[in-house]
Amino acid sequence: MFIRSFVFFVLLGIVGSCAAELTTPAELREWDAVTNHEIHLPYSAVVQNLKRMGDECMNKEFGTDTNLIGGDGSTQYVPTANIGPTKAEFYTQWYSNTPGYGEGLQWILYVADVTPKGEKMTKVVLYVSPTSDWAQSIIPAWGRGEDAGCPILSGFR
Amino acid sequence: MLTISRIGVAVASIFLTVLAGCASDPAYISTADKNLHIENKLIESGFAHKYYSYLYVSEVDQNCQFKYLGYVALDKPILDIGLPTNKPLLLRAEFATFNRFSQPKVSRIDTSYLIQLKPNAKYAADIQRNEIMYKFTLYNGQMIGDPKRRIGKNNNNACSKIIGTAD
Repeated sequence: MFIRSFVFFVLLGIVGSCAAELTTPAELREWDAVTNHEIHLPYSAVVQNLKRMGDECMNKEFGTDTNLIGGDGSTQYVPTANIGPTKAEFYTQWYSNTPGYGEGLQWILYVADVTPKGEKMTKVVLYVSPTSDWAQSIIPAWGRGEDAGCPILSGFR
Repeated sequence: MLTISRIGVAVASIFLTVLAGCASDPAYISTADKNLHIENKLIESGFAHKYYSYLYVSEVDQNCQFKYLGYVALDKPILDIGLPTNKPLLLRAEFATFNRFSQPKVSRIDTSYLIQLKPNAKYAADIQRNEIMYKFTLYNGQMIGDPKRRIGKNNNNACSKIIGTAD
């Protein structure tokens, strides 16, 4: 009986952890992993830098072909930039179209909220999902216009 | 025993071909004027992961049709190659990983430039890859790292839309 209960709760824990995926900017903003960055560049320059690098690095599609998950399909990283005159948000979401692995929106990697702080300074509030630690250093570097490279993305998480 | 060995060799050959990705493709034949200086900082392979990096060179015509010229294995810290000038080129850096213990066994990611090089000009490429990041940056001149000489990737180019996921 004890063993059965143990197995049940382990399984429940696994299912529960899978069900708690963060998928939208609003959900990720509730997450505790927030850092604040100040960039010594005008708002327009930071926004332009983040848009360019997001398009270059995060707009990726992968074919999936594996026997383990029971089918072929594709997964896609989709960067979004909502840019206004006084605030902007940047985020990337991951979609799966692979039978047996998940279909539709599955996961959000990061959200960057950008606002001007004076004429020559910009504030970036960064929310990073638990499996995208790379974003903690790379997104601010992108904002500063540094040649920081792109993260190694793959078809699977 | 001999049969088993032959099967083993055959399997190993197929395996290596898949890993190389471009083993059946032609290696790029450099032009005489070595106008591209490449500096590679690449992660070393280990038991669990093997890393492969290539630069693929293609010519691009007015209709965004590609003529593949060959690959350059990025297996040395410094390489100097000659590329054609006065014609649009697609330079695509690919970073592949063979994961011994996970699925998929081989994963790839790439990034590219659509660029037309000028005659008698020199260029440099900064190519880096570690476990979580990759980078392929071209510079005017042969000095790497000067932001003013960094060549931007033209993602709004009509051909880059046709390339799709290449960048």
